[in-house]
Amino acid sequence: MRFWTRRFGTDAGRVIAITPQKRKARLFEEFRKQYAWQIREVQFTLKLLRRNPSAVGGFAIILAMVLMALSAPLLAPYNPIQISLAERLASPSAAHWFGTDEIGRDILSRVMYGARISLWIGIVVVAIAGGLGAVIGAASGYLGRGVDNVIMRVMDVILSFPPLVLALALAAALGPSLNNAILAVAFVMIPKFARMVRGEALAVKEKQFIAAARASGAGSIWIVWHHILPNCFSSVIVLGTLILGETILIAASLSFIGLGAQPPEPEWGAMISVGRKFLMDQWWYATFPGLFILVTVIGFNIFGDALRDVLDPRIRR
Amino acid sequence: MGAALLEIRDLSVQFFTYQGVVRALEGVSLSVSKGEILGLVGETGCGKSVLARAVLRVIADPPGRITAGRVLFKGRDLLALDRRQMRRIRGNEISMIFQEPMSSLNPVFTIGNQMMEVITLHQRVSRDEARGICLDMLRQVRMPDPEQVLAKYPHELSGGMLQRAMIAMELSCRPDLLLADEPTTALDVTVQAQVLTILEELTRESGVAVLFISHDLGVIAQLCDRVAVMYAGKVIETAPVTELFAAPRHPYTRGLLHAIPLIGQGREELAVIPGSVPRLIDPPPGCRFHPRCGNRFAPCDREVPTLLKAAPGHWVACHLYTAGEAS
Amino acid sequence: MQILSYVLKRLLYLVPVLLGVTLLVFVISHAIPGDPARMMAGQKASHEAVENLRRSMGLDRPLPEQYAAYLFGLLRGDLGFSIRNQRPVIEDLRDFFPATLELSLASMLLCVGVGLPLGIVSAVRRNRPVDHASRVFSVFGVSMPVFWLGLMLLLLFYRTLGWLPGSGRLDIHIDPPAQATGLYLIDTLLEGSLAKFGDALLHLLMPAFCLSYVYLAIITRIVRSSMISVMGLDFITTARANGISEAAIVLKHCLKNSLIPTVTITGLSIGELLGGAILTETIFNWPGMGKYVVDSVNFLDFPALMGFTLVVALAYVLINLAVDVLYAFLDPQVRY
Repeated sequence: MRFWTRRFGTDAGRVIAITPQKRKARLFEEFRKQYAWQIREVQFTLKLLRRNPSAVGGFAIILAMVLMALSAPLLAPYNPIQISLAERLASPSAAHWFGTDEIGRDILSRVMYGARISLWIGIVVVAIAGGLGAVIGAASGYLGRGVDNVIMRVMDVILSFPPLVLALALAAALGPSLNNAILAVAFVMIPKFARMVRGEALAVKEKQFIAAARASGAGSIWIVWHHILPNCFSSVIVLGTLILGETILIAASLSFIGLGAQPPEPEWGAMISVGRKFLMDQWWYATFPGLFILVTVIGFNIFGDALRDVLDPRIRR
Repeated sequence: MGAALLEIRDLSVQFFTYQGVVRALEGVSLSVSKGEILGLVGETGCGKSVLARAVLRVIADPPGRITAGRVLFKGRDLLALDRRQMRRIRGNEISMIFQEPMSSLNPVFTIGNQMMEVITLHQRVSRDEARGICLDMLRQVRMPDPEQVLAKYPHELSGGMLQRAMIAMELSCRPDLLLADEPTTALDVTVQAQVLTILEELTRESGVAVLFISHDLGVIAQLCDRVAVMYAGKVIETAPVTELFAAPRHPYTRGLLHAIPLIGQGREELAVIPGSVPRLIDPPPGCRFHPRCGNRFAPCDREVPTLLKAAPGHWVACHLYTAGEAS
Repeated sequence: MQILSYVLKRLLYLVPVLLGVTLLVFVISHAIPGDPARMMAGQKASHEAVENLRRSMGLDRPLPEQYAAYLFGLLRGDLGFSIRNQRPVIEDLRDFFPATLELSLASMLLCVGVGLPLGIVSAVRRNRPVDHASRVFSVFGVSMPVFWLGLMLLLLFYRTLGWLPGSGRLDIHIDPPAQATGLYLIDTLLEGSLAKFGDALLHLLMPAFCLSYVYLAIITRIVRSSMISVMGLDFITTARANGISEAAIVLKHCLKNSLIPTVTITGLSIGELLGGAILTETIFNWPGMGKYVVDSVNFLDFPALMGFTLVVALAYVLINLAVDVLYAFLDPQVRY
């Protein structure tokens, strides 16, 4: 029976052969119909974002940084680790737009490669912290009572430390390396996501369709995964954007202290740390990397704020 | 009753929003005589609250603005006063009580603090005298334990008590006019009756004129001397209360009164005015009620009807009536 | 009476959190690579000496026992032993604490003294130039790498303009004032030496501004947004309808209501100041706890780092408690 039902179907009452293309087209239609509401919401969001100057500006900055990071191997004028002692500590010129460092490496190229590191850290941290934090928060909020209490106390404990201090302690304990810094910062950020998603889960939990799902026999895990988490999706995205900016700052701070990226990695914070020694006479060394940190984080913050405003249900009317 | 205390002439108020200009009030004319209780009736969104706020000029300036008209109070145009002069009138000669007592008082200050603030602002009295006035007013609104209430915060009182405290506060400076914006709508029915009784007693005793806004025809019938009916930003009929209920002239008023279900009438279905209230961004041309009116004819969708005297003290804005006639 | 029960409830809630904090620090300390006994004894010590030291430090006991010992030690004030300075960490911190305190207080004063009025003006003159400027300032503040800002300030005010000194709390040629509070601004005044006071003040300006920048921006933003939301509430219309002046409405009716979120954020900021102080003190060579920690990290002095982390966390928790109590004073609805 299966063989025939897969090969033939109906179209407006007539029997036709279903080719692979037709099958794909039909599956696509199914997808479109099932998620029609979500698709429309996303389109509406994009329309509102297009009209919002902060969103556009922030997105432009983010896009510029991402493009710069991706195209660094192609566009960077020099090899970022190429040493050229003859040109050491050269001031900005036509040949080296941002000058050179103490062993003659071109700072512009290093800054461009630095974007790769910073953005990578940001994305990984937000992915880990957001993913874990959202699941923890959703489970905590939905399961409630004892479980919720315990989990939230644990989150409170983590939040009792100023973020940089805790990240510092963790990174120092784990050992100076980029990956350890990523883990440390992710650990610090998990409670922020958990708390927020828990709040949303508490609200969604009371809605009718949850009771309906439970009545039809759905288990807790299924409900959390299929009902609660999708409803928190947009706020996780908003928080993620804002936390990305904060992550870049903390990661750069860790590298500045010496705990994140290690030399010769061209990480922005690490470059500033070295550049500090030459600050008085070679101002360009510390200035440009920091400028890029500032601009990148501004981009994420502005975009995140605009995104939050656009997704705010009161403003969407 | 005496001469006109408050006279609103051709008042227009507009709200400038993202979706367009909302013409909330257009050419509204109204008058309140000394010591009388004028009821202002209309559906939600017809502009009753906007009218009251326009008198005191407390409409949020972006996005709202008074665009035309005059508001004469004791002969002075309130719209022409500067800010300091206007402040001296607010709370002092004209007071206002609002619909939601729970949110109309500042939650972080005690009742006493807020009442004394108003009194000491407008009257030259010592703090002890002011406190005495507060207690006296609270007793007049039959507040149990006035001394204790002064020290309480708004969230510690019930809705009815809060509204009575508001009334006490607003009448403490002995204003000539009280604007009451649906003061009992947010209260339970039993509490409503209490508050209305108190309001009526106090205002009759001291001769305070009241502009009583409500959408509840029963309350209006019970309390008011005269009634003005509003629809979609315009006043369409004013009359003494008994006459309005006995012989309504405007089709809208008729429809409104007809819609009230009466026990023993034997009706099967609720009578309803067909259609719905127009959006004030793009109101219908001519008479704003014409799309829903069963009596509409030629001029209704072209010319805006003005308030004309159809009988002594009875004014209607409808093309069915020309001055002096009752068709 | 209501406030008292509220405070007691908050205190009770605090106990598990404090325990959790100590547990977390303990766990992290045990994740540190390397053998603490070996590090204490030194590279040249014999294997036997190291084992003896290990036993005397209690490091061969099962972990829960070690944790208990750790807790009791904390209650006695034992935060560990600094490898670098060869003395208890708590003594180190005690020495460096006043400098950090002075810096933090000065920064807090700047934050509130500038942030509060700026936020209010921004809210009242919404969407006018002042508001736009302060919102731009806010975005910059929240996105600013503190250590970079410090370096740029040094470049401008020290290197280029020469107006302000570049490091330390006092000029090297000047002796510190007699130790009274440890806060130079106060001690120099108590001593009566105005010249020293001026010098200390000049040294304090850049670090305090640098440290406060981020939180200034945050506080301005929170004051602005809470004022705006309060200004739209019903009771403000009532106040206006009663003839109360705009100034009184903003400064009395609106402000007290918006202080609640403001105080919360300010409290959190104080805690975070301790984190930011790490970077600022390093840049300006300010001899406080922050610089001490960075030096410890570079020296691999882990006990010092852990001691510092614990102290900062405890301070943060206590500050939040204070904020919650202040809450109860500001918002009568909270006192259940």
